[in-house]
Amino acid sequence: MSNLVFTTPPASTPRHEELRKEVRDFLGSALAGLSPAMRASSWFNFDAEFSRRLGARGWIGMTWPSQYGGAERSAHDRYIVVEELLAAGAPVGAHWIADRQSGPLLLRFGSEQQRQTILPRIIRGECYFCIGMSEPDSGSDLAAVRTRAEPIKGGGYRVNGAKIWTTFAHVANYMILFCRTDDRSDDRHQGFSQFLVDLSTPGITVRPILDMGGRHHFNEVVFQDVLLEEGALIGERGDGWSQVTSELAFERSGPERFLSSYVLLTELVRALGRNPDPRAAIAIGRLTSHLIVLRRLSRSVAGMLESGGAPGLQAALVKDVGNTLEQELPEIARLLLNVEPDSDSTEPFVSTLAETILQAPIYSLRGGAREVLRGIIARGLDIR
Amino acid sequence: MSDTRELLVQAAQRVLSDQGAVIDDPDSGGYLALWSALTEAGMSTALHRVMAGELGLADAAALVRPAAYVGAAIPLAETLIAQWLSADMAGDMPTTPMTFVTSPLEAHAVRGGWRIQGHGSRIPWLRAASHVVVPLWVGGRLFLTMVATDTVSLQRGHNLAGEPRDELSLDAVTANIWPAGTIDVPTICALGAAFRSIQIAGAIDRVLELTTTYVRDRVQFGKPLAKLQAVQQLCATLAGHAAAATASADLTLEALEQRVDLTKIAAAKTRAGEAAGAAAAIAHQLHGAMGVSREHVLHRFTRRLWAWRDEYGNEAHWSLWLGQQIAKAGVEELWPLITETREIHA
Repeated sequence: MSNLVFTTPPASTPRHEELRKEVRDFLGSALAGLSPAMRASSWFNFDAEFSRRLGARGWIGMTWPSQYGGAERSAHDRYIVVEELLAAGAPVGAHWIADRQSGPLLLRFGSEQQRQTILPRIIRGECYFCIGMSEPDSGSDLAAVRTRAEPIKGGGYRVNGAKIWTTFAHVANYMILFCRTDDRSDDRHQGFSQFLVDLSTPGITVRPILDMGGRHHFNEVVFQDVLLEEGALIGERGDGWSQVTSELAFERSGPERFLSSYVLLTELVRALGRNPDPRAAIAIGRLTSHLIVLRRLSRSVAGMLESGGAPGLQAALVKDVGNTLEQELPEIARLLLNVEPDSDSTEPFVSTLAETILQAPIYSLRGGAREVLRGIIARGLDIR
Repeated sequence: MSDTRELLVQAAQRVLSDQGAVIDDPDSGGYLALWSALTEAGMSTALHRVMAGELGLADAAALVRPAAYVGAAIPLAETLIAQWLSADMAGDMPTTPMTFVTSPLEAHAVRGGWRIQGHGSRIPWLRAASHVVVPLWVGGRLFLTMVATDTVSLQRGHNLAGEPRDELSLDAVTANIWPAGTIDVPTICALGAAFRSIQIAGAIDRVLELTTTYVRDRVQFGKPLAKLQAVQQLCATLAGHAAAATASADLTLEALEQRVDLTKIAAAKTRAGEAAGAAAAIAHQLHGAMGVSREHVLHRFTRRLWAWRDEYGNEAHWSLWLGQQIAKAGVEELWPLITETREIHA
């Protein structure tokens, strides 16, 4: 049979459901005043106060070792917390990248000093990260990155270059900077390193890039003769590429890959009421079926990751199928109620629809553009 | 998957692959040879263990996936369902192929038992079955009976894949009826849908394999089709549907573990049915004219996908049911439903 194995997701125990209930109860009161349109842009909402409250609950960096303040909870526990946050449209933007990518990166490759300085602050919900990968001439093609950190005699690096589309660089404390430290060779994946960069370092300029809806989350970050200490290097010099690619399965298969437009579905169901016409009921039933199946796939990958597997192909499939559904959802919803999307509307469905339509294009771009991802899937199928 | 189930599935895979070529003509009687092979390999014992309650319905259902993967033209799903429906029947269970009816017929008490009269349509494999399990209304209560097929008259029909879907006319007297108990009419229909979802996953596995093999081998423009990015993109999309069908099948097995869970079956049939059409379309596009020829094996799987997605309720049927349940329960129940923390019974 095929190599597309999806193992049975880990079973939920009463302890898991206790945690889930705890999260739901917390969110029920913490998000009481949040408008549906705000909920619709969950991981684009930067709310440091909310992150600190989550940190106080032990729900950031919750799987990390206790020596850094982590609760050493299971990946399954973390999955529950994350999916509950996203389904409720919680403003997770502030700590999102630190909890999901930067912290795990430092845990795996960072120096002891980096871990001790940073991880406890992430866990408390006080320390926020952005990711410096994309550049004006390097979007999907990460190996085309030109920003360069030149080693300085006597130690340290001098950085010059520019990063773009850097989410929350204007409010984050640190950036994980992906850049060139050595010349290009025949292997275009060689010669890259990653650095832990304090964004208050002199020589760093952050300029806003507004999105088409007028919101500010993207930035351009320019490095002009920025001096980094030797201790800013993450892991070994030249290991940047393998550091970035080793974590991709985690980034492609989480609930954030199919729940991005979920808040709109809830507003749709609410607006349609208890007796929707058959066309609307069919649409709700279909979208829900897709979500149930996607969640099963995603949880299966989570289980395989936790037991040490390498489900790269399966993770890429979850992202592709998930992004497709996320983008389909507003297109289906808009035809079930004859309204004009408007972010300022007091009708929750109307404002949520407006937000979701404007955000949807990014779903299949962030974390790897769809066409590139499908190329990766094709390689996994052994046809490329 | 439990150890027992895994062993069963592996045993079925062995027997089915030993049979080699796909049996394509249900009227040739070839299915009987395959059935005997399954029986000889101890699979009928497995079926007996299902009947005896030693194995669960889900264990039995897992067997139809490898059968669908090889394209075995046998009434395995129908027999397993018929056997499960007959668990409370007095007397010996046949080991021969069986099938079942979903819409109840009327029965009236007469001397010597009950007289059953009525028609059933699109009964899978009726002509090949020795017995058919029929639900009955007796005084407003649901009963079940098992009727030998030599006492029924049938009119031949078939689905898109050429599998028998026959009309049944029945006018018989039997003493052998038993109360349906917890089994109701929606459950019988849902069982059919559940098994079809699992079969769809097996057939899509094969369609994906045939397609990736073909695009690797077929050379055009001086290189394998697989080198073309447009082809790679389509294969990736096909694999996404295969993954969704796999998850739908696994969800279905879970739905058969304890009691029959209609919500999961509805979601799975909806998603698997959609995957069936999408997968078949991509597979044919990539196989070119070759794929639509009678000689090529592809249609043995794609025709079944097109047939099975509509049997026991198509995507719209099950989505409508699920959507109405959600609407009645209210939006607060939607997320609990998706996370399987609450069932909805509106």
